[in-house]
Amino acid sequence: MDMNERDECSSEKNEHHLTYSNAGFSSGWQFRNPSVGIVPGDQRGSMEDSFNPSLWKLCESDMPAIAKPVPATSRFDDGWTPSDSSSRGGTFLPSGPPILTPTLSHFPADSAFIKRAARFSCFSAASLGSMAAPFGASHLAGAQIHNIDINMAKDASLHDVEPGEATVPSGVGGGHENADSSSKDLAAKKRRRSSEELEAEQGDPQMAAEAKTESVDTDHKAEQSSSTAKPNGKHDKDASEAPKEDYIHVRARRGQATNSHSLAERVRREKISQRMKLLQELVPGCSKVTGKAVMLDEIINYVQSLQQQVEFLSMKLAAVNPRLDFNIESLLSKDFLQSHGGTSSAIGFSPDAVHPQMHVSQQGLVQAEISGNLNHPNAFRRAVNSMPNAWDEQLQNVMQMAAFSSNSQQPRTQ
Amino acid sequence: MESKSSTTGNRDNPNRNLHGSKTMMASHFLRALFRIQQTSTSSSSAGRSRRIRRAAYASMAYSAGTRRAWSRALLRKLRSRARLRFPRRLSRAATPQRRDMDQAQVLRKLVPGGPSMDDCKLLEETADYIRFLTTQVRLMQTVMDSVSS
Repeated sequence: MDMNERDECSSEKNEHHLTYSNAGFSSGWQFRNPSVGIVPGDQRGSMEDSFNPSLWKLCESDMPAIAKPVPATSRFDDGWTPSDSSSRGGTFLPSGPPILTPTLSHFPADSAFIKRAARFSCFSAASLGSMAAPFGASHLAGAQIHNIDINMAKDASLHDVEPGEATVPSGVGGGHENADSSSKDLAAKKRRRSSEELEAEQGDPQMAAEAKTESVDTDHKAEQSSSTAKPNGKHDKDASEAPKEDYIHVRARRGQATNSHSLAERVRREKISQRMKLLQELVPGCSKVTGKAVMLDEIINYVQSLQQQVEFLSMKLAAVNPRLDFNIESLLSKDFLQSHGGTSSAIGFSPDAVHPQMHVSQQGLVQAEISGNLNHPNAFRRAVNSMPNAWDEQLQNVMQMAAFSSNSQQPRTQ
Repeated sequence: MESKSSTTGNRDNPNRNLHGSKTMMASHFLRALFRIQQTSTSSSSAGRSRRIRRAAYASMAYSAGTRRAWSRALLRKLRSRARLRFPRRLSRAATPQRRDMDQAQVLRKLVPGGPSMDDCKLLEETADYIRFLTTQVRLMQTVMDSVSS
């Protein structure tokens, strides 16, 4: 999840980290998304939570120590971000320009890229105004690429550069990625579209369309910005301005993108809260529990306890099983199924079953059972005779047919 | 699928769905129980309990059909004849650290088919899974009571 760290630490100043991570923490849940490409926001959110403390330390500690070369063999995530932060830290190396020309040679003369570079010159705090643009662009481009080329970045960091050019590996790596990104613009766009489309499926289609159009409008200026803004905006659910500050050095027009993204994200939150309400009703004793974390804990405990109960009951049933006979049918029909209201009985061979799926599978089941090993015709008759209820007629029919068919078969030895 | 139960008919729709499934669950489970009783009188109680447990989940999955992701995953697991393993060790729940990040992860491990869901869907599937689980547990308890009485 290198892109996550790049996202987080690509801010110039340290306080961006603070605000960013604050926003992340305040956003409540940080689910980790297993599917990498689909909902990047959640993934980043969770990754952000997990990595933020370490990032703080690393970024803050490495701010003054720019001369430290990027540790190539260390954990690459941690190694990457300090260099990013140091490059972002506003203390651009004076030796930047001569180094950047070789890196610039990596970049294809992409018109969109040049436009981006022009935009990013707004954060030219250092003397490397336009020179720093590739850094920003490259980092963000790298950030947005899901299949991060770790190898490429590693090669970049392993470049034989002087310690003073510690930012170069990140730049070069970012440059590589930017080269890839500019060549893979379409892929990135498609990815963004697909994630937006996913938003459309999940949330308001209008909003996703807005987000899409927004990103199209701000395409050339903030092509990567919108895509990276969106995932960041996604988990900065409450504070849309915090990610703006985070990326202030990169893009000036983040407000629009953030709004649409945060809107779409708000829709997602609504859905999640709806589902949480559903779950609250299901889990007993959770009506007064507020707060998603506690609620989730309750849910998890409840599911675990239910599964344990299943195990326990199955053990008990195994112990008492030999005494099982089909009086159960009658008792069950009275106690269990009745307690939930009368049934229109989708059981058995009724062709007018309410649920067609059930109908088919039920028939399959019943037939399988009948052709299988239904035994104890006496028990069946007993059960059948003891059923008083209306819907049970159909059950009785089932049992009768089962009894008949089992009569005709050779009963298995008990 | 997601919009159906999330709007006004919160209680109605799922309960109605569940009710029809209850009969199916009961019939499937009872038949499976009966079959197990017949075929495994000589085997150990542990083996039988495992089979009963498997039958419980099978009846849950069959009654839920293929509408739900969790039931599909469960059916897949059952059909592949893999050992039906469910994390029920208390040790996992006993570590209350790493709360926020691992909650979704833990939930994904619990709900069948969990690992391939996003959060929204995970919650939805969890709700459905809980419904069916409670039904199954109640069914088993009823059977238990009726057998032992």
